[in-house]
Amino acid sequence: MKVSKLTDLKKEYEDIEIPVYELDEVVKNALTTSLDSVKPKRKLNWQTIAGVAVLVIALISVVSFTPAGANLMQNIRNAFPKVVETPQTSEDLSQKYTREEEEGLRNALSLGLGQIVNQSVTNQNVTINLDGIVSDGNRTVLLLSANSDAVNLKGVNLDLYPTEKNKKIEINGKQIEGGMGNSFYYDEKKNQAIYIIDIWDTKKYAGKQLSLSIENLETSDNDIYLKGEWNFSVMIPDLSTVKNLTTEVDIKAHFEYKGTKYNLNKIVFTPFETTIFGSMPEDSPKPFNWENGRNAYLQTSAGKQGMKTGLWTEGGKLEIGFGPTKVEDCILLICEEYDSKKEWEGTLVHTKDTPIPLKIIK
Amino acid sequence: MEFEQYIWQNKEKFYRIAYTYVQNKEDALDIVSESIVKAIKNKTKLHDEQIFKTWFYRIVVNTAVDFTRKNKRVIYLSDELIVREEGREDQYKDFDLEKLMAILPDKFRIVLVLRYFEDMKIEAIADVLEENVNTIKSRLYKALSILKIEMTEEKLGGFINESK
Repeated sequence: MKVSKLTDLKKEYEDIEIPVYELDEVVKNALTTSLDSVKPKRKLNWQTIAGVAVLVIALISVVSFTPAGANLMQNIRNAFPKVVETPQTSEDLSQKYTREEEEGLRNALSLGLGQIVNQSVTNQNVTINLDGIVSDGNRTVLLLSANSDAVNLKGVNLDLYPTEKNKKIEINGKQIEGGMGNSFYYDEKKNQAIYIIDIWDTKKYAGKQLSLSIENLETSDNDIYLKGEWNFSVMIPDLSTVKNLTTEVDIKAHFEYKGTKYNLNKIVFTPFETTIFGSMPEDSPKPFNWENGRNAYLQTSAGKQGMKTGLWTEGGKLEIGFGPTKVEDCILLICEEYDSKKEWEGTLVHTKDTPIPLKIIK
Repeated sequence: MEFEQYIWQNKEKFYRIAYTYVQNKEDALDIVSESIVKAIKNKTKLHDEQIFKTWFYRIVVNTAVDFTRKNKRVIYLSDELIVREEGREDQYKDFDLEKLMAILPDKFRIVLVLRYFEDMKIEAIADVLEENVNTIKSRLYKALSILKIEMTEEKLGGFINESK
């Protein structure tokens, strides 16, 4: 057996899946149950109902009401660092979102489109802070962070799935329509989870109050991790007086892949992203393997690149999102295998006959 | 560090150790739970609180061993794992962790886990398992030889021969 094999085994050992929520519960229960069983037994007074009630409360709340339990809870609370972070500026916010795919968010913040909110709600030892809201008039992003010195937030997500009874993001008492994304990441040193709630098509809601109700925290498998309620309220910024945030450019281009023709007819430039809209035969496959990896991007003559952030197809419509680029001579680079150098080219053309090259690397 | 806090902060380590014995989530969780209950109940018997880390590892290992004895299951291995003949090279080269844990006897497996996966020193392993250092080294040799990993005396403490 080679050294690498033992290293592989160690990696496999470290990758043993930890049932985080269940393990937390099991350990917490074992610790509290054991502490309960080792403390001196009380002599019960059954003569008054009040006495019984006190006993019941004492048993239910053993963790909080016995010195041993209190000590345990204090220790558990101290299991994670106490992090209190409230951003004060857009720059503070921007520094939290470091991933490549958040370039659009950082760009919008740098353009002054963010507002600090700092609404904090603590429940079940978890503090969720609505750090800020960013909007370009059409797309609105809520930025939240969660901290706890007692609950492990690794892999913990927000339950935003609306039900008939429980609306999660509502305006004027109605669950909002339209697209909504929820992404997060985790800082192990701080035991801090950072969430981005992305809401599209919010133009019609400008100036209105948005209510966000987080009912539970959940695992990546959508199982309930922690029951609780964290409610927020914030106004969707009205940017109707701000001009030039969005620029649409008609184009006329196409490319073919495996006998299917994909037409491209519009590029929309916003602070968050640059999006190419097009069409394709209904029921045709998505062009290339665009769901995976960084296999398409825009590049300007100045060398600026906008990486692909998403690809959507529905009912013959095609939409490809990229990181933000300015309105200039964009080259669309498509690369089925990113490292491949084999290229083929086409041309995207404005209706105003301003050429936008299309370069496809196959 | 308080005892309870130590358990809380290292619970994932204990879960992994338990898991290597039982290879299923429910039983591993049971072992962790039972170990904590045992530890808390017997904490007063621990005269030197400085050694509670080693002591708790020992409880987890012993609980896991007891658990597997009580719940002995027949583990069916494929022929390639059961048959081991002299002269056949790298018979186990396609091991994954589960197969490795199944083929190694308990006393060898735990030494391997603590030494190489938990990065514990030989002396600490000896404390956990209440054996002398030479016994641990000998078990480590045996475990590695079963797995056909070359080892030298001076490298038992940390490094493996980079045989290629």
